Amino acid sequence: MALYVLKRILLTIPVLFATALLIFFIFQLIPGDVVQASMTQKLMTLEQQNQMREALGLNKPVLERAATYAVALLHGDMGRSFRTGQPVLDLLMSQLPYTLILITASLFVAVLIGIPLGLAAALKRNSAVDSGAMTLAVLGASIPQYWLGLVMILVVAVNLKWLPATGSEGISTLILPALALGIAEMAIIARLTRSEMVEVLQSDYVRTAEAKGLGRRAVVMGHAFRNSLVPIVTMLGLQVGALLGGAVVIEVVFARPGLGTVVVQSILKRDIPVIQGGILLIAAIFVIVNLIVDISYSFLDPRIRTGEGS
Amino acid sequence: MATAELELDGAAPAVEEPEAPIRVFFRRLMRHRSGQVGLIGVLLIFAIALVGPFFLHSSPTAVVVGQKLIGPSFAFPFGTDQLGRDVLTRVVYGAQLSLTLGLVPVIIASCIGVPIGVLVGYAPRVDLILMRVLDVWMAIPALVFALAVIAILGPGLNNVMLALGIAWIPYYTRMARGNVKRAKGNGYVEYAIAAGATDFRIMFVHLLQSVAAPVIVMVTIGIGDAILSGSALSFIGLGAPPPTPEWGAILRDGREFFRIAWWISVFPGLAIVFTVVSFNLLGDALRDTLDPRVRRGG
Repeated sequence: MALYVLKRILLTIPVLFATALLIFFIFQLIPGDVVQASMTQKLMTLEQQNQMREALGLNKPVLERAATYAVALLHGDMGRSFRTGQPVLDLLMSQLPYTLILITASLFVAVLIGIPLGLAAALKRNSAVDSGAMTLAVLGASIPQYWLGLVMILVVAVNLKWLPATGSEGISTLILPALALGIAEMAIIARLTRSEMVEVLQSDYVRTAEAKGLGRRAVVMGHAFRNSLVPIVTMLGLQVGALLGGAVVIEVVFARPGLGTVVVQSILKRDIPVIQGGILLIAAIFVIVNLIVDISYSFLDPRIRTGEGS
Repeated sequence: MATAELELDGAAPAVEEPEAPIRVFFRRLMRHRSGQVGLIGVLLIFAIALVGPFFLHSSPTAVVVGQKLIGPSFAFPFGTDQLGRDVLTRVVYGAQLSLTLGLVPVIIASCIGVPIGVLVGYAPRVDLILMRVLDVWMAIPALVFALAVIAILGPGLNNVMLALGIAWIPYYTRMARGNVKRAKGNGYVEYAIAAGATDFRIMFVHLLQSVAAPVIVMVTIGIGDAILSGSALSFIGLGAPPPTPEWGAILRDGREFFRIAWWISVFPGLAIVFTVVSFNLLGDALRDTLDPRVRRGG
């Protein structure tokens, strides 16, 4: 067990490292170079440009710079913001908690609404409950999150005055953004829960459990649902990627601080080191979440831990 | 030679003409409830995009003097915006742009991603290295990857479409690879080799056919995703610049005024929901009718 967890953690390190290098090389494709790209914000004389190139080490060959970048990353150095001169890592770390809280709250929305909805649909298959839940799921996956956010601000915050429209203090400012961001994931989880449960409920061991005389509740929750958990948790892990992308937009809609807001502002202001660092940090969160998902399998499904079966 | 004989064998005892697969497919699709709704919705959107502008008497950027921020009325069913432009006109013109925004990224991603996936699935030697590269690529969430591309190319509608297209390549590659690997086990690849087919012919005639159905499903649902992601990028100011009537851009332009003029934001949003729901329903129906593995499912 401990060995399995350790192996998974060690396997993540090269992935993180490769991701950092991929992002580094993508940003080498910038037309001209970083200095020219940042010129749209402030004009520099040729001499100033060359000084900046010298300071950033842009005159060196690309592989050497990649190595320098990798070593610097290991020391927690992502460079400095072109605009403010602040270390990129400090800037990003100050924003990270806001994004993590938003993502976590959205996952709660997805799980707490999506799973019961999917369960209800599966247990009352082909009923009004089923078609109602699945209509909701199709709608949820098709509504633009930012638009849902706008409509909720208009209805709940402006007209009803129940919750604040913007801000980042306290739980009340979190509810609307988490709903706007989580609804799409809720839809996916509801559909998945339904299809998994429909399949599992027809399986032999569920019939056996029923034949043993177990109650409906024990069969559904203890036997059937437990087996649907592995695909649901896998999907949740993968959907964190969509949540991280969606958070960028939702943060802008609700004027919330966070990684997304920083990255979007930096794109508009051509602050390359911050964009590069922000994207790397978001990718790192995604990789780590999926590591946690992988490890959680071994608790949900003992076969994976011992290497039996699949 | 072998194929010719086989065809003759198959044709000779056929007393009843079997129904063409394409007709079977359409019959199944039309019997599928969400397929009907989705197909009608998609056709409607295409119709509006193609002929809608001919029924309107003004351009999407024309300003009606003295008619700023007028609510929905008989003259302006969707109201007017802060500059006095007719929102209905802008939404109808936006249909073309938003459909383009939906189509181009999936065309880019599938035209590059699928052939690579077929190649990798067929030739295991390239497989190991390339799949590791794709794993890393997919470690960056697609929308965030698109942000990186936009950061490099600069904002704009064309760059958004290119960025989303590039970001989605690995998903198509992975899907095509998986299907090719499964199809290789079906025996007809050995048969094609025995019949003397070249590698190229096996990959791009036989195996490409085996991935056609899942690609069609993925592309259909992908169009909806592209419209959602692309309009979101316009909304946060990285896509279509003003006064482009792309739906996400209309929403962004109306955002400042939405507390006093809800119609500027609500109607383009409903247009997006309608379009994406249609493509998603059609995609679901296509999956049920095209993919034999899920046809039995609930």
